[in-house]
Amino acid sequence: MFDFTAVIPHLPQLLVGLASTLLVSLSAIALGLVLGWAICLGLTGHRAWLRRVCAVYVSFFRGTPLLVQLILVFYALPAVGISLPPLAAAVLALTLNSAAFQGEILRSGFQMLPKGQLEAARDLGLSPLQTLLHVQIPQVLRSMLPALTNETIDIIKNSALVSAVAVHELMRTAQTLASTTYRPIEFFAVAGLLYLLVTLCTGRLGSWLESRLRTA
Amino acid sequence: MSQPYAIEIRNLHKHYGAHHVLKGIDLDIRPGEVVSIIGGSGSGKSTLLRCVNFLEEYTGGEVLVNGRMIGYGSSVTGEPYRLPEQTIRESLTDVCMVFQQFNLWPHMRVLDNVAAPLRLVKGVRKAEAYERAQAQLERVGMGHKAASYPGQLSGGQQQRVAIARALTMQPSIMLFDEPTSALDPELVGEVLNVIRDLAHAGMTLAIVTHEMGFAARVSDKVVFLAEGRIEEQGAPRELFNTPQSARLQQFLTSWNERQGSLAMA
Repeated sequence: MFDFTAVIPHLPQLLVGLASTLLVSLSAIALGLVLGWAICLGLTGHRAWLRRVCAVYVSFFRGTPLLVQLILVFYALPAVGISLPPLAAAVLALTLNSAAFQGEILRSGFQMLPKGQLEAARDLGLSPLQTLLHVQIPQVLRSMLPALTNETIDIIKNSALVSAVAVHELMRTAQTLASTTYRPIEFFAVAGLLYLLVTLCTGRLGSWLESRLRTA
Repeated sequence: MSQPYAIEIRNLHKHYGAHHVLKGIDLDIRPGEVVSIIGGSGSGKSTLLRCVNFLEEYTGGEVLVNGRMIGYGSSVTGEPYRLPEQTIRESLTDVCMVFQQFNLWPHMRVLDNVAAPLRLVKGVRKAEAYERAQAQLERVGMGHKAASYPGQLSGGQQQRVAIARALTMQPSIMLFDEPTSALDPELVGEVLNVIRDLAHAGMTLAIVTHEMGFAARVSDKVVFLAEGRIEEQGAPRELFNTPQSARLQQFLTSWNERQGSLAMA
């Protein structure tokens, strides 16, 4: 009934698709961390209007389907004269989405730090920048690691949606091959397995980093 | 040039919104003097201490450390204005605080906790910073725990590390904000011993504490705060044996009763 041997000749194509899935996802995570940082600063800053803007941003990207966001970036941007290649548009959409989540993760990480640690830093003469670099960031990164691992796994899975905007990543490749070979079950099953493999590795990497950074 | 006073506090006020916490405090502390600040909870004693190193921004009056005004300057017209953060930090290099909650940085080893400020603030080379940090850890009896993380230590040990961290910055004045209040009773002694040694070594100390016995033994002067004012101050012998104000009599009576009930238990 199922003939998985039909997949074997197409494995290289699937692996190329997987590579572009990883490229899109990991770029979005990295860029999302940078933008998320800015959002975290806005959310915790002194300016009320900036806090409001950042809160609206987070609500929007947390509260609407990623597919809607993708299509908006893909079709609305060209309508106002900005045309991006599909791959760039996909990375942009995923980055904007991930930044909202990472901004929140960072914010909770910063707020978990006891105020006293910062008072001690100030009392001993550390500048605000030194306090940020040597006291806050190392601890925030450590405490956000589990949530960041989850977010990376989410983005890898959600990146399947960018197949809807003609990026030839793993999902899109599987769809194309499934329809040309009439073997949808086999190709989607293998695609699923590849996603699982990558997310499992991500999870293991996250746990390993956590255990390395753990102190008593 | 030596100043007559290490700390001068003139008509100090602190408001939190409508809440008036400090209502005009005047207090002088001479170099080498050990002053204990006692009082009930909410009397403003911690706030007073925190105004000295500007962790609280006072809203009226003056605080001078070694003759230098803390936190504010005055313009040509005599209007006070808030000094830049960096200037405030520089004016407080002679003051270090030890906190109730120790406030060590949990992601750094003990040795790094002590050496980091030296390297970052004073630009001391790594090897020398470690050497000086180790020396201060030995001084408080914590040299053997240099490689541990704060979370692996008891409260008393953490507080001694925090004291070493402050000492490494070579302040002439140390502020202690209820240094033993977060400790299990059996760990209080080891911290008090370290503070007593500092007092004997001639450091200027201001100590907010509930340890009356310790305050009586180690202080040159005891200050009793009630509702944001200094109700009474003097040598510990007079203050504890012949309290003048009703409030202090009441405070000492309730403290003695609590000690008594502990002794019975």
